Amino acid sequence: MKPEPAAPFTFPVAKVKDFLTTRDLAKRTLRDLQDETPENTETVIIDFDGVVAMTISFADEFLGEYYSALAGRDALPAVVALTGLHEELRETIDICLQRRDLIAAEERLGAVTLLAASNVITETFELAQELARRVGAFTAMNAASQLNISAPNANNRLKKLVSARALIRQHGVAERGGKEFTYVLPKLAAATPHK
Amino acid sequence: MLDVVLIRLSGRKPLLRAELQADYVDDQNTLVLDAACLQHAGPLELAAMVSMGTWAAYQNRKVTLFPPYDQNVASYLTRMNVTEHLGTVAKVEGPQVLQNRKDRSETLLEVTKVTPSNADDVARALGQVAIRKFGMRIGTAVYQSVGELILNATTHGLSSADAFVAAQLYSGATSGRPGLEVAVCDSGVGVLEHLRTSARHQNINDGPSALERALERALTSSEIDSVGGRGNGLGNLGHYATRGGGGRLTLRSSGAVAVVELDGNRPTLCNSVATQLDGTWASLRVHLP
Repeated sequence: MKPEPAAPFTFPVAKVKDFLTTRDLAKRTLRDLQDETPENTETVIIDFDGVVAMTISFADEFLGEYYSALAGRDALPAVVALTGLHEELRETIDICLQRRDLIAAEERLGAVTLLAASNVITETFELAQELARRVGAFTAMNAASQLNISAPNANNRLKKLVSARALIRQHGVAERGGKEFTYVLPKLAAATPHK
Repeated sequence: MLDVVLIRLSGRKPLLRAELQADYVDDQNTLVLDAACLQHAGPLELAAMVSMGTWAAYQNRKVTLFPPYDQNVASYLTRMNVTEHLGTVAKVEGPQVLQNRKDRSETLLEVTKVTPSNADDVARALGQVAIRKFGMRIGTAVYQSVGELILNATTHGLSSADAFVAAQLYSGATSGRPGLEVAVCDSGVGVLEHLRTSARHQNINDGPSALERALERALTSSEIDSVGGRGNGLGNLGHYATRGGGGRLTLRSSGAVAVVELDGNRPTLCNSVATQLDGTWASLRVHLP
């Protein structure tokens, strides 16, 4: 029998410190996040509420390393979202992730948006939100036809969203047989599509 | 290389000048910090004096401090813990000024030893001062700049004598320019030697080129290297300019001085200087737009 997925896990960054400066502190924070995340957790929320400021070096060593590790593997968590960000923190994370060519999902006031994403990836994510709202699970072909791009191109874009844990990829069976990936939006995003 | 045996600190903020008043001999046994004619000291003078004295004492050199004749300046050196720090490593040739101390943590940070273990706390204290003075938007950017300087001093600039930080808020009553000045001084290997430990930077041969490279902002992941992380650090100081504040960073290391105007409208100036000192000194002065 398949074990029940663990409840969403929230990691309050402010419990570390309200000003986040050094790479050493970032390494410890990352270790705490990884150690404290329960096994089989599907959704991780990294909550910045109460953090006043953060250096780009801290962001790089904490979130840059975390998202790099996520991008390199397929394992859980399937969903990661940042929350509790104010404008200055958002700007800092944007800079750090852009330098590593990474993206992250941010949940704010019930809506989910992307940080450090190019216009093309943002457009794809908005379409994914729209498709998820209309049809639930969708395929790369669905996205390709909506975006008027080739299926491999759509696939690459969706892969990037999956790597950032902003979109969930599921194994399915195609209508005419054979395996096919379908994509669904995490619940926090599907509930309130971005406008 | 000849060793500096005497540094004269005279007039107003003498260590912000590119060329320092220094004497050299081939003698590693002494260091004299002559502040007798010092008329005005800022955080850079305070942190640099303590850093130089502490590093020289660690090298078993005999350190002597001549305190300022001016009682107000001497009193300020006492207030900012310069005499206290140097008193443990140097012979102070002159009367020591006593002072009744009040808590001024909202407007200054006395010379404070910064190590990897207290770097976050020191940066936090300065972040609070900056946010109180400049508000969230610019204050957090100032904190980020100061944080990167402290991070550099306690990692790349780490030495057995640690690093020292000092800060002072200015009301602008005399200069007409209210602002915050922060100095971070370490006695580590310096920017050039540090950069040259990376294969990517081994072709850098002089101090000005090293400072120029260190101050570049990394823009893409292709900037990743084995030593400097991904170019975060000093290059991030320019980020402050994007939030609408103004200011100037003066960086001295590896026989060179760089002056960076943080409004981003003027080019960074990196020049060789005659006086070669160990370590890296950074002075950041910021003001409201």
